[in-house]
Parts: sequence; C-alpha cells; structure tokens
Amino acid sequence: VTCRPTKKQAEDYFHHCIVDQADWSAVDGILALKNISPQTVPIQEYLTQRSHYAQGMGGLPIIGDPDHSRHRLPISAKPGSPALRSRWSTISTNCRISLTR
Amino acid sequence: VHAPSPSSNARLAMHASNKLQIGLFGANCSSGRAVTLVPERWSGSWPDNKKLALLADQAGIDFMLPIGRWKGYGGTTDYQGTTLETVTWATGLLAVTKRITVFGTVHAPIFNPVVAAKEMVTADHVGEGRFGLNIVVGWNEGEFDMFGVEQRAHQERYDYAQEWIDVIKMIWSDREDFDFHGKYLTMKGIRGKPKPYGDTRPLIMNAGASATGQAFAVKNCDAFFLQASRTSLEESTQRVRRAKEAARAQGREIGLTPSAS
Repeated sequence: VTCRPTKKQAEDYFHHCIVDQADWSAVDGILALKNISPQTVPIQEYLTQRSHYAQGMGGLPIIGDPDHSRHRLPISAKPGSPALRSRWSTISTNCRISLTR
Repeated sequence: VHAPSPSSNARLAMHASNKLQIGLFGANCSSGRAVTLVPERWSGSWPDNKKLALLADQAGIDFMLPIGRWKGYGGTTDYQGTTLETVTWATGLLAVTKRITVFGTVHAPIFNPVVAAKEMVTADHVGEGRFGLNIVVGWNEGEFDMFGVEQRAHQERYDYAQEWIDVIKMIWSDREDFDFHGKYLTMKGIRGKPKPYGDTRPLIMNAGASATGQAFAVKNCDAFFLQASRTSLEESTQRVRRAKEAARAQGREIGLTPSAS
C-alpha cells in the first residue's frame, strides 16, 4: 500500500521507490532464481515480470490517496467477504489503517 | 492424526471475529516487500518491528505474517538479507501486544518437529493463544546448501511435510508418549507438554502454489495463502473461488489470504 494525501503524490512516490530507485540488481537476482530471463520468456513478459518483482513477490498494489485506498480494499475483499468500512489517515511516514467493521 | 478439531473455529472466535482478516507481511525482513534503494526503506530491525506491531495491534490489524528467509537476494541492498527468525520474532511480538495474531513461518525440512512443536507452544502461551503456524515445505536453492540438507523432489517435499505436520498435531493433541513410524520420520516415546493454549491448537497456514501444494493446504491447514493477481481483481476472485471449491470438495471450509503489497 502506497498512501499519500493526494493520488498524484502517491503515484509519484511509488514511481520514485519502485522505478527510479528500484534495486534492479536485486530484482534481476530474484528473476534469475525463478529462471525468468529474455532467453526463457518473451521480452514483453520479461519486462512486465521485472517491473512486478520490484514491488515485491506478488500481491495487489494499492496506490492512492486515503479515499482511494479505503475504497480499493472493499473491492479487493469482495470474494466471499462482507462489506468493510475502513478509515485511513496518513501519519508521519507510513499509512495507518483504522478499521470499523 | 489430527489435533482436536475444529479447534481453529474456537481459536478464531477467541481472538478474531472479523470475517475479513487483514495482516502485514514480511516485516521481519530488511526492505520488507519493496525492492528499493530509497534510504527510508524498511529496516526490519527489532525496534521497528516492535513499533509496527504495537501500532498494528492498536489499529485493528488482524495478524502479522513473517517471511522465512535465510539468505538475501543480493543486489545493492542485499534485498531481505537481514532477517529475524520468525518463531522467536513472533514470541517477542506476542509478549508486547494484546490482541493481534502473529505467525511463525517454519520450514519443515530443517526444523525437528518435536523442537518446533515445543517452540510454537511456547510462543502460543506467551501470546495466550495468538500464535499461528505458516508451514513451508521448500525454499530457495541458494539457501539450501548451508543447512547440509538436500532438497527433495516436489512431491516428496509434501510427503515429508505431511509426516512433519502429523507429528506436530499429535504432539499438540492429548496424546502422550507415542511412537511415530513414517517413511521419513521415525520417533519413539514422543512427549510434549504443555499443550497449546486454551485447549485449541494454533491456526495453520500454507502457501503452496502448485496443485500438490494446494491439496496439502486444503487437507491440513486452516488458511491458504493465495497470490492475488497484480492486475485483475476478477482473476483474484476466480482463484479464491477455485480454492474454496477444492476445499469444499474435501469437506473443508478454508480461509483465504490474498496478498496485497
């Protein structure tokens, strides 16, 4: 979850961390362990996977302002889950989630 | 060969009545889940983990799930190269929190099950029933050699893990002084006291991605860690539905933990 006061701030910070300042040498190490390379998969697939693994080992990115993140979670939780009301607020460096169920 | 069941329901009722469980993944590892150079990346240190756990405990997060990692991925930051061992990490966090469930991620092939059962029961008593087991049957090849243990073929990993979890559950049940004769494990006079907290056993989770792994999870576990699609919510929905249907086909209801980064 990348949560900032505005959607643009969140997207900019995500791009800063996971694209401009990604540890690409580590990403390439992860891909090598999984035998994902331009020699083993189509180049577009390789680039997609490389971008994805910079975000970690999987999962659904949630990037946006508190309202976006709040609305994104219930949608993500849709399979078999009840409605979830969540309230997000930004604190000093990370996102804090307080939940009301 | 199973502990009194369905103890998981009792345990869920004890601590976690929310149908949708939200947790934090990988805080025990340096850099956490973001492969980044930014200086504010997650440290994975004990003080930061403790601070995070207290914040999560207060904020209503349901669980913390660590990654079992023994060697980092290299690169400029040695991504996930500094990690806290997960059962001791969980025990420490359970000691300072009040309501959150904390899992240990345990590699079956490298932990003697009698020792592991005792360690986990200890964590469970410290947390008064808030410990959970995330069982892992294999690991990265690069981590393998330093244990002097040869990684088995895929199916055999799960065959071994089946014996391992059977022994664990038997120790956690009301059995005393029993023998176990399996293909991989032969043990005599097994005894383990105390039993898990409150006459229930810890929640058990598994993240096997293959059909064999999923079958193992459905048979043995209370929760199945499922990779959420990075791009399509509908695809995640389908994955959840298929896993739940597979569990129901075996007469089981299983919780799903789709990951969000």
